[in-house]
Amino acid sequence: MRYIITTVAFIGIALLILLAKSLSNSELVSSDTFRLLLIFNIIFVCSLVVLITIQIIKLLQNVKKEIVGSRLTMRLVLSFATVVIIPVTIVYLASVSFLTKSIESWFNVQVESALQGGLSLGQKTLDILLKDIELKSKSMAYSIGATDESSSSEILNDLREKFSIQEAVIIGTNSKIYSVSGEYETRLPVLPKQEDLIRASEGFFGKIEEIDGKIFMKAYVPIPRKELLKPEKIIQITQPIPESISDIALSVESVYEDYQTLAYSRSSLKIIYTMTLTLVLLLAILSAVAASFVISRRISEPISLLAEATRQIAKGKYNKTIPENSKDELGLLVKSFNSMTVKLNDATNSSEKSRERLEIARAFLDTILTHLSSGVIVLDSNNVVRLHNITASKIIKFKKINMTGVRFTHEISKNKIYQPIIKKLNTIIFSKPFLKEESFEFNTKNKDNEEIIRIQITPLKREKNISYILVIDDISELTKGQRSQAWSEIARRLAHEIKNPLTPIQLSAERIEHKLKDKLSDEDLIMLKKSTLTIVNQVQALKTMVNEFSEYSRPTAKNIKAFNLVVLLENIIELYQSTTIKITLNVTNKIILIKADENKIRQVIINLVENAKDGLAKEKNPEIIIDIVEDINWVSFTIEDNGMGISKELMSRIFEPYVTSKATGTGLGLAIVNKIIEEHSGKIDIRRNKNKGTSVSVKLPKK
Amino acid sequence: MHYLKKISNKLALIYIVLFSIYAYSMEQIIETKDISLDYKQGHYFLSYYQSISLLSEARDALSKGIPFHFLVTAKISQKNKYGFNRLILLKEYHFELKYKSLLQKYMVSDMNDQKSYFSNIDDAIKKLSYIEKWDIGPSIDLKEGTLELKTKLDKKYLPKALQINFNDKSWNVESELIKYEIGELN
Repeated sequence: MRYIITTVAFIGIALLILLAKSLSNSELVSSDTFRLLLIFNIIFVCSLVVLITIQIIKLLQNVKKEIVGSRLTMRLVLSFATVVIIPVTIVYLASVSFLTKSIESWFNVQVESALQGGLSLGQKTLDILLKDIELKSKSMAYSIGATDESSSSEILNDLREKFSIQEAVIIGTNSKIYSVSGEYETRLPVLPKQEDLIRASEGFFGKIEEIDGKIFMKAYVPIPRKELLKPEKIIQITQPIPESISDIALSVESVYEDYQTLAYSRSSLKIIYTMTLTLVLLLAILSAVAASFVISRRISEPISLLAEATRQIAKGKYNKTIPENSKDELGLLVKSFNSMTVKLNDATNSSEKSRERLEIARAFLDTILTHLSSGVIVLDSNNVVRLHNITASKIIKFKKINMTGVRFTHEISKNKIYQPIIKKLNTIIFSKPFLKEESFEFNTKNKDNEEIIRIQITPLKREKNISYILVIDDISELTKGQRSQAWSEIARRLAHEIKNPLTPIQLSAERIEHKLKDKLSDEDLIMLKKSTLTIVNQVQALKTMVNEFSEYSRPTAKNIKAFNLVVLLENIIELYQSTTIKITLNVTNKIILIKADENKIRQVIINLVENAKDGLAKEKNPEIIIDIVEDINWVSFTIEDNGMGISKELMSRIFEPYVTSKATGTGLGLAIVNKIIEEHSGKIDIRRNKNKGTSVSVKLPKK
Repeated sequence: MHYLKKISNKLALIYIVLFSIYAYSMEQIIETKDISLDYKQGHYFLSYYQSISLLSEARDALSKGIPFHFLVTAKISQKNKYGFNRLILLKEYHFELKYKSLLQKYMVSDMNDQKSYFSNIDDAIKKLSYIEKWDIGPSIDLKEGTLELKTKLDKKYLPKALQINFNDKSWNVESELIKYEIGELN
């Protein structure tokens, strides 16, 4: 578009020059060319109008679309156009007024009167000269007519010389030349036209003619003869107007004609000049407006690019650079901007890399925290959770999985069992900032369970702020394991220390009975036997207890092989057919193979059935239901009874040694069961039924 | 209202027709007639009558001293089967009609540059009415061909201001392009 406008502007200037030349030099440019030029100019003006209209529409559309730089371009165009239009219009109006007045001033009454007077003077002079010729010619005709025809030539010559006539010719009415007399004898006389001869035969006839830029008078007079009624000969006199008079008269005539021509063209001239001026005005204004578009775009382009680039940078695209086309202030600005964007881009890339590294580190930390068995919570000095892992939520039993941003103590205070934690935190953290590591443990007891939680608090000082990292561990299982291990050790030592003296005690008691049975009275003997029996029975009971201790403390030697769990259960149920307890086995598949130590699993099942049987002692309709459920990798069986169940207090410690609800139990049965299941990588769960009784679920891997 | 609209439409049509007739009648034309073409001694000679009618404005301009130059163009061409017509002869001549203010006479300058002076314009125009045996050029005796003849006021000689006067019909003084087949003229 820029090149189109520039080309059009040049064409306009060329057309204007041609138009001006054609007006000033009519020889150079013909009227057709002038007309063609006018048409071209008008077409050109129309083209410019169309071009500018298109540009204006485009500009307005750009402004409407809020394209960067369009408003600036519009302002510049308006400014340039205003700067051009106002002075050019003033000049145009002044020129038109001046031109009109100038053209009018060419024509005034005085000039016209003067010219008219000059012309009249010339005409009168010619008339006078013609009158003079008339008199001379008539005189010559009478003189010739009065003399003899034979001497007419001499008389003609004499009279011509006498009257200073240039040429005199005697011609017959039949156009025959009788006599010629002239200043230039060699030149042939010009014969009069027939109509002139006819007219001359009737009387004097004179005329003035212009020949080759000179004015000649011609007079025709019939030569009267007394003997003739009608003249047969005519005298033709040719006399030039004196050059001094002729030149002036012709000059006056020429000026007069020019003036008249000009006066006649007055209105046309006004129209032409006004039209030309209007065209000049339109071409100037339109070319200026068209040029203003080019200039405005050239000025606003780098600014628009800068604005667009700034917008891109605001959107985060820092690699935006602008072509440096000029070396002026704008070019310097563009250069500085490019330099800034390069630095900004470098800084952003560096920041992005740091952010990526940070993200990786955070992801790494998140992964660690997520997979950490300990719960981690980062608190700020205002008790607000800044970071935590899922394990922490699980241990603290938060309802919300994400507790970032919540006030920690406020959130855990909803659960009463955490009151000790809140007190501790308030004491060691929030009452006064501390910078030492500290850890504490506390038990949480509820109806079903007891947990031991250990919290380690590590302060983390960053600038003026102090954060606290809380590492929370559920050490219940660990404690239980430690406790179990301790019990095993006690049991082992107890078995070792107690078992050894039991046999000598039993043997000693039997020997005492043997030695004294013949020496004592019947009464004493009965007492002795009773006492020794008591000793033996108690020793036997102690042995049984010690064996159980040994069993609990001794690592189990497993004999792993595949067997059908359903068959095992059916065999065990067979043992209890003679009892009053109704035992039901619910199983869909008759063959459920698992790899385990069959004897140990039998021990587990018998122990559990025995426990259920003990609980059903006072039940009128004792019933045990065994359900077996399997999936691809696991098999689980549940032994459910409708007995008296286990108290709530015992539930949390039911698998610990020496914990039993039975009066005669050692409290090692479920502990041994738990140990066997754990050794088989299984799980055991015991719970109180909703109505009554107890359900024990055992889950074992198939392989 | 609808009726008036119909009437106004008809009136407008009548006005346009009348104005067109008036405008046509106002045009100054050169009427050419009695054309004869003679072939003698290897040359074609053209004779014809022409009547020139000038409007009062043109007469007024003439009386102010503006010269009227007329251009007569005669052309003989033959048809060509395969393209443009073949030009055989092309001849032009000028004649001039002018008012001499000093002499107070109308001057006629004919094709031979012979000047004649007349007291009134009609006599001057009459002088130009008969063109006799205008030698339009040497040629073979054509049995077929087309003669084209046109006379018009040559505006090049008018003052520039009048030349550019686009819509003024006073200066559109010209004849129609007259075409005659040579066979018909002979």
